[in-house]
Amino acid sequence: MNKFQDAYFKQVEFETRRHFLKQCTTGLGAIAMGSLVGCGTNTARGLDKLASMANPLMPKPPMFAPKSKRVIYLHMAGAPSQLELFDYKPELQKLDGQDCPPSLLEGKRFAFIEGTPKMLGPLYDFKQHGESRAWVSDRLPHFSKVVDDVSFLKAMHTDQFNHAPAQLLFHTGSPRLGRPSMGSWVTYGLGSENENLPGFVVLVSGGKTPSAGKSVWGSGFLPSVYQGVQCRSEGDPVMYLSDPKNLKRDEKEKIIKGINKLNEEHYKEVGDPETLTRISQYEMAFRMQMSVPEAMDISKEPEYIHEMYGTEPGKASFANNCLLARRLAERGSRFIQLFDWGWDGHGAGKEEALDHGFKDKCKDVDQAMSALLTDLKQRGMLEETRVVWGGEFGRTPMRENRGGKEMVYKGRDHLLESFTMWMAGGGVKPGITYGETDEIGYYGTKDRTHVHDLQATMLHLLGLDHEKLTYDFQGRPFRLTDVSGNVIEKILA
Amino acid sequence: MTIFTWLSPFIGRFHPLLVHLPIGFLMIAYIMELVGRYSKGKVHLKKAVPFVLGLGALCAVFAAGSGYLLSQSGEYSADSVFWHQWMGIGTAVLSILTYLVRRGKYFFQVFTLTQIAVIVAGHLGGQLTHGPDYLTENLPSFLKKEAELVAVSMDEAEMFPDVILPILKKNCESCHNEAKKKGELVLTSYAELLKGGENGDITLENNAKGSDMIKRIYLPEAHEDAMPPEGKKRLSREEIELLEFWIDTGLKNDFKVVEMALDDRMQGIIEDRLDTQEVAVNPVFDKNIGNASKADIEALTAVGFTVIPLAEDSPFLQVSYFNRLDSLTKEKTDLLDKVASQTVWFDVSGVKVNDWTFLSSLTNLVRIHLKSTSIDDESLNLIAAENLEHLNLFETSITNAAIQKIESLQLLQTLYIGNTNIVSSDISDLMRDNQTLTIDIGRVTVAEDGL
Repeated sequence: MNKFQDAYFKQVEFETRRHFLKQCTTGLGAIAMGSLVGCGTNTARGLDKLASMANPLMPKPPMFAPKSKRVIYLHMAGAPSQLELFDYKPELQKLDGQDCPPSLLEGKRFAFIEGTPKMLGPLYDFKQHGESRAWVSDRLPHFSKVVDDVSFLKAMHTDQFNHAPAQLLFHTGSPRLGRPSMGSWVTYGLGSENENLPGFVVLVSGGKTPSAGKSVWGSGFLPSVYQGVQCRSEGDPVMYLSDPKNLKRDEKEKIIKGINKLNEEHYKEVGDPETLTRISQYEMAFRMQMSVPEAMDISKEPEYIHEMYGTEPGKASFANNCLLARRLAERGSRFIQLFDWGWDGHGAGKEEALDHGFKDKCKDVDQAMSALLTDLKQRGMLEETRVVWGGEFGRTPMRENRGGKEMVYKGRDHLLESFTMWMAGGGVKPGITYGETDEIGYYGTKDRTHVHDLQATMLHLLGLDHEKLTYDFQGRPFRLTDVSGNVIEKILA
Repeated sequence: MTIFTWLSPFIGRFHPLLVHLPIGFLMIAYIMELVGRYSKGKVHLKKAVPFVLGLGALCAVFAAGSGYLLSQSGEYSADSVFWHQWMGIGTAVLSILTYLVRRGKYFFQVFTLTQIAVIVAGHLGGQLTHGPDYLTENLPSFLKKEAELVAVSMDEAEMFPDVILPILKKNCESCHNEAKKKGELVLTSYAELLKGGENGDITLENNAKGSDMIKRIYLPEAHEDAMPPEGKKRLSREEIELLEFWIDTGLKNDFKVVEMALDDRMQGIIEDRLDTQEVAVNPVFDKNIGNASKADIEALTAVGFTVIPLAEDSPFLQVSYFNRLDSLTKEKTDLLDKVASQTVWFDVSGVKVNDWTFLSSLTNLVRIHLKSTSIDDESLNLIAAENLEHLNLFETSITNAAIQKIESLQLLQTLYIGNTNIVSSDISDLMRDNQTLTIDIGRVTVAEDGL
């Protein structure tokens, strides 16, 4: 036995640092080899297909005849309370102020709730509206007039209980960074209908970008030509788009042509698809200098439109963004993503409290989003436009007790298991409510819908099969819903 | 060995071509024999019979060989090929035999038998390629036994005949019928099903999980005992659930579905299956229309149109030129003529259009957006698409005079006339006459107004 050990140590002594380094280099070589052979390089199928296209944003046919041609996605960042807006729970009212039974807390983890919280009944009155008899609270008086055009998903659920990962899950299909967003997938799959405008536009209101940052409209591993372009309703519509003073447009054109020629040479040499992206972005930016200011100028809209939306030209607001969304949709943008920040109703401060700031937030969005639906409808565009509204998760039927103490303002903590979203537009039965939650709105009890199911359905309505819209990266095909997601067949018209 | 991996399917594909040779040769040989035999003036024909017959036999061998290779490709299920395959091989063998006995006593009898084999094998082959109903499809109706398709309502539906039997028909009957009886099992009627097969009962009352039928359905496809066998379509989730439900609730036969204790899910599944009402498809999409030429599409794209097929592999196009700053001139719209029959969705919203005559050539339109354009009553009359479903005239100068044209569009489903000179009182007749039409007059929808 000792002899064996001796032999072993002799051999180990023989292995010097030099050997180690030598072996390392071969190992690195092997890794490099792997990437050269096909993992994550442009030999992957996805990129080959792209490289063969003159313009990566060229409009492409859907996989099957679509119901909608474009998406307007209204994301209420921070997650609005479903219990104060759509999910009416009279039972919860009866339990208001009572201690939460331990059975509801066992094995649960909350962002802020500690110890035994109290139940919190709905803070606002609910009524049924329209022919569909949909329940809407008195916080949304305008919206309650258009409920017959809307389909509610009442038993949504998600896996992530912090804002950033939950937002990433909603927009990229994964709670971690690095995946392309839904708008990127859609423009990758369908291209843009208007060569002079970005296919995927992002409009932000509420003073802040969503917690997950710009990754929620990033293109991940897709070529960056598919990433969302953020436009603003205040100041320059697109940052850094306008020319320096005294630069003439024809001079600019010459410069861009020159740069693109060099880039084309470079692409022929190296074959990096990001070069193609750069070329098409230079070209688009040049065209956008003309088309974007026209599209983003809401001041020429007639007075009745401003009245309808509650818009004030020149300001940054959700209402302005809604009107912009309609204008961009009219001009052929494929995916228009709105984020409105400020819905995180914990009750830790007055501004976010469900009994204070929440009312203002409701006022901010109610008229504008209802006007958007009405306006799209009267223009005959709602049929071809998918409008989606929702947050990134729901809120607890318990009142938040940060630090284990009763707080001054009323608020609710994050909830994964049930929340409400709504959709409108062709292809989905209007005026329906899909999914049910228990009598306190804590769990979905029927027709639960996961984030991935919603994504699968949205792609389906655009004529894309979520299982077939893939892109090869790191040696395997990826998709928005990755390995899950089912189209919600029952709500399809 | 490797050469066969591509060679055999390659040769196999020649089968549909090769088969015509032995059919033709053997038939002409037989006709020559017949004519030579019964018509005195044509005796010389008989002399050539062995030559043509030999040629036919040779070709039959090639046809059978290539057919065998084709059957190995996996494109045809072994069951459906079975009879064709053996009749084909039989024909080849018989034709060689006929050639060998050409001077023998029973030559004509054997030859006749070969003829019959050729016809039967050919017919079975034809059924494989064209489908079993191909020949009889266009028979006058009084000669045909109509497969009766009676829609059953939820209230009338009975458990076995209306819910379970259709599943068996679709998935099992091709092998388990009175003629084939695979595994001694017949699944065409309630009584036969209860009889079971060579391994006894296939269903255990109130015990779906223990029933042989369900067990086999759940087996992985590659398993020897799996049903339907490898290569056949598996049952859908709903179909399996229905079978399980039916077994677990006591194998009811003519029991009313509504009297069963159905949970919501079962209710939904059964309702969906009974619902035979198909969504009406616009007749435009039944038309046989070729693809537009690539050059024509490129010409349109070059002047600013966006032209996208409605779906991959669809000849129909969505064409748009919307909200562009440059106007749509006659030179541009003239290009539309080339893709007129393919264009089904058309959008020129917000564009300055100089000449509307192109509307008269777009006969297959299903949707048209003329929102915020210079369209007027007169140019609206140019619309020649009789199958139009969606007409968007928002923010145009059309007036009541356009209503007559609108009325003539029989399939119209949605009409947008907000911000026009038509007022709601003028369209009440239209609303009354066409119940399926939704008219949006702007900020108020007339349909909701209850006019």
